[in-house]
Amino acid sequence: MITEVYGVTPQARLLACFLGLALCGWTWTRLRKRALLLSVGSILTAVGLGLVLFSLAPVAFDYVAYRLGVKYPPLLYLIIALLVLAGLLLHLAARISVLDTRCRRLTQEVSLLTADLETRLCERTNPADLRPGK
Amino acid sequence: MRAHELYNELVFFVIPAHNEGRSITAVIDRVRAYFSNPSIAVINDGSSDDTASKAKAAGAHLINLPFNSGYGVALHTGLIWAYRHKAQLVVTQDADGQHDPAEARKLLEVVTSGAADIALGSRYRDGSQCYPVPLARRIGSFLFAWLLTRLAHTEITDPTTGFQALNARALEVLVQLPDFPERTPDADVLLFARRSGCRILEVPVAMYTDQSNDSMHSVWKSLFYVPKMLIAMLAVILNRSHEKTVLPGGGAK
Repeated sequence: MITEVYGVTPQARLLACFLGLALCGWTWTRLRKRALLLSVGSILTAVGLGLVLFSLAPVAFDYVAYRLGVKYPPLLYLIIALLVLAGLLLHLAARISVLDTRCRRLTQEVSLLTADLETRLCERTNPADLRPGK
Repeated sequence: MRAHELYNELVFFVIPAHNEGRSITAVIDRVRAYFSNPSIAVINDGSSDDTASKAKAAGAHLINLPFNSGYGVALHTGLIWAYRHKAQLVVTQDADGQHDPAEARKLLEVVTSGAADIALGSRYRDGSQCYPVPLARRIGSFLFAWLLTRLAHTEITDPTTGFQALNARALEVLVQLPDFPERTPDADVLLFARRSGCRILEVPVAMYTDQSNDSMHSVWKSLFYVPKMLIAMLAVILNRSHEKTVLPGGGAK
């Protein structure tokens, strides 16, 4: 029987448990299909397991908050949530920057190779001048 | 034989173009009028008009980017093209008719004489002719010119000019720049080149009003341009990759 603990109602605990399991399930499904970055999957799994842990033992979180000197435990939850979001944002920003550079280089390579191919095809029909852009 | 007649056959023109169908043919024709046998590459940056077909019809080597990627990407693609074709002299100029190819000779003479690796066509030097530049842009240009002059230890008055001549050394440095700016390769690229050992000199040139009236430095973009360029210059200073590309005989301080 799920009971209310330190003001966390049974419904809230059930919701947290469900959301945590759903997040883990979605993450692992995507990881199994190789449709999610392992680093992002790790962060999401940690968040999901954190939610499940919270639903099982909300007291533990309050205990940690008091031990850290936070007298109002929800404040700690907010800080953790912000840190997780900031971590995810930083990771994705770095990842996007790398992907943007790679995408740009690939775009350039495709354009140059296509242009070269067209030049070579032209040379077959008219081999008079081999200088590019003449 | 005069110097420019020697390098007529060696000059590669790199012309990035985005929706410049109205002016591209005239620009290519003017290049051909002043250079007997140049290699001309038009980098079509995802234009939605007839820029590509007109450039091709005018006889330029056409490089089509699959979508609009930015002036910097188009310029860098052109530089890579020239580098892979072992270009010894490269002239970059805009496709909107702002720059007169006849004046490319002045830039090339500076580079071929060995006085500099990069010659910049300046609209603000004594002896240059320039259309009325909007005050906001002029202030921005002055700010970055002042900053770049101090950071690069070379007097530069027009860091946003797209009219440049490069020799093979400078070309190699710019091609190897790992994160060539996507939109506005201006003061940050010049600073990188300078710190990589390239010598830079300015030449007064005439610059005409943008025929397409779609300059990339429009007023609203200027708001973002200043902080973005300051950060880009700071990144060049902090980035140590230029140390790997310092050329033999370079004069970077």
